[in-house]
Amino acid sequence: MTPMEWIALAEQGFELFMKIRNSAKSAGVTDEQLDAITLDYDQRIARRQADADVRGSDDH
Amino acid sequence: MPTRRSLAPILAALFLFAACATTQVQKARIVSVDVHAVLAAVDDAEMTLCNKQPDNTCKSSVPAWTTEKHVEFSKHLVTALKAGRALNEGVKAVPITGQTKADLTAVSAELEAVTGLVKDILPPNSTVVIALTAAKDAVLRLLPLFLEGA
Repeated sequence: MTPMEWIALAEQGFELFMKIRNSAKSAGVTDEQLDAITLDYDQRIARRQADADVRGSDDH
Repeated sequence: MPTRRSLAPILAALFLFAACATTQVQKARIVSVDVHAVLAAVDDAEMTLCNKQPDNTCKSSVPAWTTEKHVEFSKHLVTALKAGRALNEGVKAVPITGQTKADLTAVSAELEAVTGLVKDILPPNSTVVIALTAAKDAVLRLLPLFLEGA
């Protein structure tokens, strides 16, 4: 499966990924682009953490 | 006293070393971009499958994909996403540390764990299964590149 096929599966990550991946080969990945990825990770972790904690909060 | 001629090989070696280090750092950074893309694909695919309701339960098109499965999936994905984020921060530093390499291995382990969760529940043509297959394939391709090159 090609990177294009991977990203076709991701709606929210698509735009960010394309933007960075396209420039990565030619100009390299900058610190600012890595920061944008970290920010996206933060949002995804917060969303998933909330879902992962559902059972834990029910148990208490 | 060193002459200009005697300094030339040393300078050439230094430039070559700097160029190689830059290439390795860029390679590691592209690996991080790829890891983020595959984890985002898995994350989004499962969220779509869950079809979360206002009461935080899943109403999936696959009845066996219950809220409990979603919670278990989320626990593993939180670990994978945290490892991905740590890796992404790690590739900013030079040289790449052993911890950053371990983060990529952790992503791989969590992808295996969530694959176990979906096994025998989701059909092979499920978007989540396809995304997971693609993600594992990507990480397998990236691991040797990252471990050797960075």
